[in-house]
Amino acid sequence: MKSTDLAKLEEQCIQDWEPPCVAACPVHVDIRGVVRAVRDGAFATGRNLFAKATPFVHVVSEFCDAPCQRACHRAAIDQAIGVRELERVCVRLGAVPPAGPSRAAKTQTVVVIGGGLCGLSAAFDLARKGYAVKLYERGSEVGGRLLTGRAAAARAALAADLEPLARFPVSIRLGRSVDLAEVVSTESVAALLDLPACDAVLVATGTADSSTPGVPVEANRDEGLETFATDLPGVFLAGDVRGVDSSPASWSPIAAISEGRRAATSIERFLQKVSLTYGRSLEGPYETRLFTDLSGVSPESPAAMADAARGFDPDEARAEAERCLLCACLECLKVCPYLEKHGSYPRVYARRIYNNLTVTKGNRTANRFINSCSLCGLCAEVCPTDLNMAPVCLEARRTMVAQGKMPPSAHDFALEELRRANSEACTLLRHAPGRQKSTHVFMPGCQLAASRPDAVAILYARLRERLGPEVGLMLRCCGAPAEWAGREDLLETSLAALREGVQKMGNPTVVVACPTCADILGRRAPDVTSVSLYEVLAAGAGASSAVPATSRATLAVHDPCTARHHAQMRTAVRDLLAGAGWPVEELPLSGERTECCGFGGLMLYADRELADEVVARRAARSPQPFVTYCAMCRDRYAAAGKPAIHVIDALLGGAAALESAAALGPGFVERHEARVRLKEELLRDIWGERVGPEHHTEIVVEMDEELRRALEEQLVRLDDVQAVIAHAERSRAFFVDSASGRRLASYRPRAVTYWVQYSPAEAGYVLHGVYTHRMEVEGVEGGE
Amino acid sequence: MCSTVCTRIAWKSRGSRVESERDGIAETLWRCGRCGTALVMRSVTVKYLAASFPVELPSCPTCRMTLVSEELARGRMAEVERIMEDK
Repeated sequence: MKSTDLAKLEEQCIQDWEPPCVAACPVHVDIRGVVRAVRDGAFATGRNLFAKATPFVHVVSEFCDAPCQRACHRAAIDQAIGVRELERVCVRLGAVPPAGPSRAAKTQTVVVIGGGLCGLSAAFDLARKGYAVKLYERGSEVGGRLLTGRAAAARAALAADLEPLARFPVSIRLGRSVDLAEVVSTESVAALLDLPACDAVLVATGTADSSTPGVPVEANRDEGLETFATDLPGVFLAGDVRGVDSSPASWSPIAAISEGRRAATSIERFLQKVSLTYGRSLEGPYETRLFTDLSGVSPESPAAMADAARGFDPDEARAEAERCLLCACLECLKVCPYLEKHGSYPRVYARRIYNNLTVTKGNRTANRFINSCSLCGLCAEVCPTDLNMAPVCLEARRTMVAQGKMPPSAHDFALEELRRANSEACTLLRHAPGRQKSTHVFMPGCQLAASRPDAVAILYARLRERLGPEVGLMLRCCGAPAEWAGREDLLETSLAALREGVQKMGNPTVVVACPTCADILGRRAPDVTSVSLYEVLAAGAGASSAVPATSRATLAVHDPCTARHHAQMRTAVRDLLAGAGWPVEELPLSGERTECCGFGGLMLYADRELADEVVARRAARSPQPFVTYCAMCRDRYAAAGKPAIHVIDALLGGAAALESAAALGPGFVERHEARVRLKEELLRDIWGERVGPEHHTEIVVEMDEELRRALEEQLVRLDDVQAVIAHAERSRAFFVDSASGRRLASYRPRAVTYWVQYSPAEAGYVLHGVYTHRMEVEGVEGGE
Repeated sequence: MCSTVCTRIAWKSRGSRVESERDGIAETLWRCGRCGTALVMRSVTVKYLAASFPVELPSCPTCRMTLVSEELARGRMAEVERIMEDK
């Protein structure tokens, strides 16, 4: 991942954009924060958050024209959140110690002309930053247009806000009129005002003065950015003097305060001789990109207020704050327990992944995060900007492999399964018996072969009826685990062997039963012609075989995540079910928005707890039994206690299919055995060939059910246990406990050392326990 | 490189029942299956990924065969494997 890729991802995730109210607020009060504080009854916290945006908390909470409320999503549903009233209650009940100027005094002096809200806001911002400010007001009091029509109340609010500002280095001179024309024409503003120095001037005199020519303002307007600078160095113009609409109806106190604040920022940058424009694009009101899902939001009346003059009491305020939607996107987290589990959202996750890949010192803390994504791509389907974490995590895995930093424990069980599934013991590639060519070749895939070996033979026969006699058979794995593990080398090897086999058969169409095989072949080997089993069966079914919908139970269709972009396959499955008389129900998330069962992307091996949560959550989405067309999904649901059948059961088994819905599939450690047996049986039954003596059951090992489960949990295959015992007995390399006669031995066939505790028995061995480690220990038997 | 890693992650003893050492004799019920000798604590080299370091483990003094107990494999050893994988 390059830093530019990271920047792109961070830009694409919109969760960090402000909610509409905050974006619309000219000073960007953290309204969500204020709402949370009110909910908690933490009014001082709320007031502090408010005061960060402006020191004029009394003025704003009493007289703000509240553009936030016009932007509030609730405005379109019932009524906007009473933000101003929430601010008001925070100001009233949240006592906070007054803040002083926070920075060291500076030597420069700024003149502010005009004591309206704009001028005051600028003056106190600059003073807070340590500048000496001389403010000139033509009238006998400050406040400007705020006082119009509500003098007494406005005076009181203003006085309350100015009182804690008394310690700021602002001197206010009343009754001194300076107009723009004077400032423009004078050689020295300092001399004009009898000041020792003046380093910058802000003219905020309120009234537009069109008679003053030669002061072009807003040189930066083109960039959509207001700096309030003029062509005269050090002279700034803000507020109504700029001649913007100043009709009484449209006058906005908060806009005036915002302009003052932004002008102060410009003046500070001017005095520090830095860019006036850099990094300021989100000052003032703007359109947020934040998406908030409003479906399911029901209208709620605004909270009652017993005493309107006083404002909300704490309970009333809490009730109003509870109405707030706390706007956020997080669409991906709503559908993905994996993204939810890690406590943040894709913008942050992208940074974590980037850091993990570029870390030179310290730990790679995101390894598990990167390896536990199911790579299912549902996030992209629900994201307003189509952000897909799957390719991000997958690319990160590839990088880790390339860097030699992929933890060996992450994927080696799955990769060993792949190696075995594509080894001589499990692979098979044949034309139909007695045939020399093939128009089609049936590829059940490694998981169906392991889960439902019985169905493979039946389907193969069915396909030969349907497609003619020249249908071959191919037992092997498509290589998906290699792709998921970031092992492009292994995927390429696997695909090359598959390609070579298909070419040797004369390039027949590959009929795939597994949606993952279909997906891998479609994306990674598009030169190999393939079609899903379900499309073949549905196309041939026709209307004749349609069974009238009987009293069969309704099934909920679970689309495997690898079928997300295979609409024809999904349709074919539904057609087949309808044709066989099964009423079906669609899950809330299905089709392109389907959820993973927790096996995809090898999530299961990286974070089993999460994979179990994922499957349980999916299982709970419908009370109906599931029907699916991925053997692994089917077995995952059954293992989680959710009745589920494979669509082939629904087709072949009739109404009785449901009887096996709760039956457990083979465990992870038993799948290889099942594949070996399937090959032997098919060769014997269909091609009449005998395979050599069964080598894999040489050593008989007895164990109880609890141990069988422990093996499954630790992903220890029976043949690994057999290998340990065989090695130990051959070389007498074991430890012995003379009291019990038990033996303890180790063997390291690959990057794992297996320790087995066993006792010799009459017909073989009794297993007492198994454990493993990855470290290589000097003197431990069976090492490499 | 590994010496710093090793000192920090060495797990010697830590109250383990099986590996606790007394007069050089390892307190374990296991004896060597080949020669029947009681096991003694011995310094052996442990390797993982790019690091290797010495650890005291029960071994047969004659056959040099080393024993890793279940408690050690599932506990501290697994923990150290994880730490090293994240380095």
